[in-house]
Amino acid sequence: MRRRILCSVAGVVFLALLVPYVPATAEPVTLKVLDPRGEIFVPPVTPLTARLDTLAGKKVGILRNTKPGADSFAPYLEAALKGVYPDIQFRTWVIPYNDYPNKQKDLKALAEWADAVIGMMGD
Amino acid sequence: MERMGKPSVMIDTKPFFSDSKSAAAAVGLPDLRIVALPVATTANRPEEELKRVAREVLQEVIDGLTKKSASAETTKPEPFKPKPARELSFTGRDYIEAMAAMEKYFLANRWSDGFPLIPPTREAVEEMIGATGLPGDHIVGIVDPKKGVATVERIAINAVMAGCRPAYMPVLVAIVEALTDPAFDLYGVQCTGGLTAPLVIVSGPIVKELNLNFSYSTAGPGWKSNSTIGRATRLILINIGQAWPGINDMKDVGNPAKFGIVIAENEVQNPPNWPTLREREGFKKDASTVSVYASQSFRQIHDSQKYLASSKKPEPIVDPMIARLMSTSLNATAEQWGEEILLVIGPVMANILAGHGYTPETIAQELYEKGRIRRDIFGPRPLGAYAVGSGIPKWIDYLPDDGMVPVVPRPEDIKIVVSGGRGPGTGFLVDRWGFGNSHFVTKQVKLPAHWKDLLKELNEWQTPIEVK
Repeated sequence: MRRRILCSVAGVVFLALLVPYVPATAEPVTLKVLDPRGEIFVPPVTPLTARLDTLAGKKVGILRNTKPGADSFAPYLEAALKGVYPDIQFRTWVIPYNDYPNKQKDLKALAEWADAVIGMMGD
Repeated sequence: MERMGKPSVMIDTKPFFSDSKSAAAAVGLPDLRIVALPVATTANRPEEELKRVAREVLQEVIDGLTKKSASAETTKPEPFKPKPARELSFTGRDYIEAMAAMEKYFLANRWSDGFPLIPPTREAVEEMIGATGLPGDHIVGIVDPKKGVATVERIAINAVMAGCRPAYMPVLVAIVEALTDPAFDLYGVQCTGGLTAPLVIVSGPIVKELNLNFSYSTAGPGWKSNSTIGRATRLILINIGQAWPGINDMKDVGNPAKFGIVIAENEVQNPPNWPTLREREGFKKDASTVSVYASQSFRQIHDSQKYLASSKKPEPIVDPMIARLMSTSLNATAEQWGEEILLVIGPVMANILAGHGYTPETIAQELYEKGRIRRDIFGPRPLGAYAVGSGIPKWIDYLPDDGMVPVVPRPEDIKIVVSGGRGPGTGFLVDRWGFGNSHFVTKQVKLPAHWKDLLKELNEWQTPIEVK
């Protein structure tokens, strides 16, 4: 029994002597970095123009961007609108995304003819 | 149309909805009525499906043109003053753990290319900025699609993340100038469903100074300058332009060049009487330049030595070039007419051609004359709106179906650069991206006054270049 007590005391003393050699828990490391995103240049917001009271009897310009999805869907949407408003009129402008010499002139002609515009995009 | 006083609705398919919203906001129309069709595409779909889709969106289209919206008031434009980048903190038990925390955050926010990132600390970024001779808030360009302002500081942050050395910064600034030049159509390149990515070509004394690999596998990995400048270019497009796959970058499959490809002109083995790329683009021989090109696929032209041994004539080299040129255009449609085509040829091929009296100009002239495609490939008469947008001349409509049309408007639109090592005599023709007006753009690299000092530390960042 005495021997066991002596061993325990010796063990405690040994461990106490080791304490200075056990490394303390390291301080956390904080890494400060800079946000890589570009600051967004926000253009002035344009409010939407006044909406029409109804599409009945109105001229609706269909603006197609030349992609096949727009070309194939436009007739079906026109037919559906015509089902609700039989006297609605449509006229199509094909104006590609690309710049070309008469682009602004074509857009202006569309705006002059139409009361409203449906833009058709798509692959 | 809204700005011309006409109520408008935009019809798009569901996958492109976020792209359309983003594009509308970028031009100051965040409230634009956009109707998303509940399908991936309406091209070549059955009639019944198109009728059903039309019925489903009908009320939304009517409402879009007739119901009032709480639209924002017009705000007066104020002069834009760039703000310094905000600081972010990441903590860990050690540096590695803090870096991992940063990476996880960057990945979650879509600010990464997926590879490990170097932390853009203030000190590292300041060192990069100092290498340009420009203030950090100097605006180099506006990066599409989100119109992110590319200040020298933001370019520097992404350069640090990519692992660039400070001396690479003048090249990166020139690349951003080129990418944001309206002639490059960066919005189109970033957002298109076409599989395009910018390819960068460096020409001039800076190639050697920066240890840019101009020799074997110039378009591959192994050199810090080529790899990290290419990577930084992509990070700039991701972070400053804020383009992201499936949100506003709609490429179905993508393109390996999106990792960033920077090749360099092999001036050491350029045929002696051939002007350099930069000289042909209108710059002085002692200048250094970067050129950007909206690349698609790379098509090999090969074995010129073998063919030449049997024929002793240059046709076996030029003919495959012509074939590639024509197949490139066959792969395209009329929409892709009007931009340049890039031909990268190795020094063996270049010197064989030079030995037969060819120059880049005469090669381009011959390709222009012989590499033509039939009129009927452009589609039925009259030419469609694609063609109008691409600037195809109307006279093409008067050709018979088998009439031949050049694949580019002018011989000088075939861009030729000598690059790569002395292998079996290969080169490649790089398809161009169409639908849009992206042109080959070249900018001069502007060096700071302390340029020579910056180069000193690069002695420790060299990979040997094999020139045989």
